[in-house]
Amino acid sequence: MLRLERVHSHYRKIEALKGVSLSVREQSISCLIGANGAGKSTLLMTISGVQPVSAGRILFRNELINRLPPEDIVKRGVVQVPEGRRIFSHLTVKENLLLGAYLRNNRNEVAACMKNAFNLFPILRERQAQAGGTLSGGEQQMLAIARALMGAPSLLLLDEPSLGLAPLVSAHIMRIIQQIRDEGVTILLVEQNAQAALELGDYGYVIETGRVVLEDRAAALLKNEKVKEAYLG
Amino acid sequence: MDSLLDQSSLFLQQLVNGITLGGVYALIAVGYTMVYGVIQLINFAHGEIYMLGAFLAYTMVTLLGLPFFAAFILTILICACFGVILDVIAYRPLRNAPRLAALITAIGMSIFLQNLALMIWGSQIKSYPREILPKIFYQTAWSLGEATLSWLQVFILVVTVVSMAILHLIIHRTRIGTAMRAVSLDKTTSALMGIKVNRVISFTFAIGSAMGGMAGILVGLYYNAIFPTMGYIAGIKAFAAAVLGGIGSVPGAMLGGGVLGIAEVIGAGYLSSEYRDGISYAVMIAVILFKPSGLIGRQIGEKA
Repeated sequence: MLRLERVHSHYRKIEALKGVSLSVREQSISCLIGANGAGKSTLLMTISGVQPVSAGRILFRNELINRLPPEDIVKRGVVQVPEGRRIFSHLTVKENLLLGAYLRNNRNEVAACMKNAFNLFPILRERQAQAGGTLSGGEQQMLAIARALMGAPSLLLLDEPSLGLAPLVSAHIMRIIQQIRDEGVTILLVEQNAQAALELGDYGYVIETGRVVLEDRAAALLKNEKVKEAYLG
Repeated sequence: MDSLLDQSSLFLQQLVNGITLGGVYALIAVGYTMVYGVIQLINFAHGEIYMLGAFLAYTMVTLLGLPFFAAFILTILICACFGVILDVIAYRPLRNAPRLAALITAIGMSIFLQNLALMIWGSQIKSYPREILPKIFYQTAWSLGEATLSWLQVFILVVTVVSMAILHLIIHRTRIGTAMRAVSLDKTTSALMGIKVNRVISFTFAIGSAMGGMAGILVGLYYNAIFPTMGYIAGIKAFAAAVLGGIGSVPGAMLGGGVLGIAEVIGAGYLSSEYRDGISYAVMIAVILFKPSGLIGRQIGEKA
């Protein structure tokens, strides 16, 4: 569904991605694990068209998307939940959700989509008139995911959804991610919590200093000695 | 003065004049504050858009012989386009450059536009010829004691209030308005939502410039004086109003404009009219010293 071929990306002169190749199969959960600064977030930002690709290709459903502006990528159904949730703090929960549906014109569909989001995260229905910034960390993460779902994604890019959350909340978010996949949305999950990610995922990539150094089925990576040593502790 | 007006009438008259002037400052200040809100740039060329508004309407009513209200509407539309052009040619190429570069460009555009106006219209002070303006403007709409309110002042106040109300609706009730607020909080995440960030920024310039141009016409009418450097002082005062209210906050700009207008007129009335401009500067300095976030601005240092 999504394929990256030797993707390079730079921040001025610093090369953050040094030829990353990976592919994400339809209806799967693919995980990207690695340390801080390995290039995981950069990778998602290049897929979303926010960070420019300096060499290589990104294909979505066999179409080249690495020269498209972010809005065209969202329009094709590739939507990101950014690291740190990045809720519009002064806007209400409802406004945040509506921004997720910014490119959709059919009001009935958007309303139905919001109803689904509220069913998935009932707390958001209660809080819909509240400013996004007043929500707790877990609630903000739910809002960030719900906001992305408002864009009717076929591929959801999740960047560190469990970051800074209590273990119980984080486990709840992981279950929700599985539920979203079961409803037919393909998922590319970036996580520092490698254990949780690999338990959830189907396939995994290990990324170090801008390169994919290892890839395998998630279950196999969980047993891999090197992965155990470096990421599972 | 006491022989002409009794004390309470004088105060009332100053208050009415102050509110009228304050409304105009608020109109200009909104343009500063909205642009600052979305790209953290003090658009120093904004005062020149205001000046161009006054001149364009002047040319339309004198040279082209358009009726006043047609010239009014047309000028506002052209100023909106100017705002977009300004953004696209002067500021957009510098979007990822250091903020100082854009600020210097803004000052450059301001000087350029002032001199362009000087070339086109000359340095002579122009005024809208009375005979082609609606006669009612100069009649008294309301008087109490010896204080009077002219229909021109009523027109200025109505235009100000209506456009502020429309602006409020745009910002809070429309899709583009929500996008503007989103872009002012976080551009990257806005892009991830599919918002065309550059288009939203241009739209912000369009709205701000439309209101600035409108203010130019209103002041041209009120003071009967249009000249190429009129945007400089007005721009600084509106900037002071925006700072007073809290730069980046639209209600703040409205409040700041009102307060500054009243302070200026009353100060000029009771102290000396020579202190007129000084009052604005004093207000700006006091705000920066004692309450840099302004009357209702966001807390400085808060992560947006």
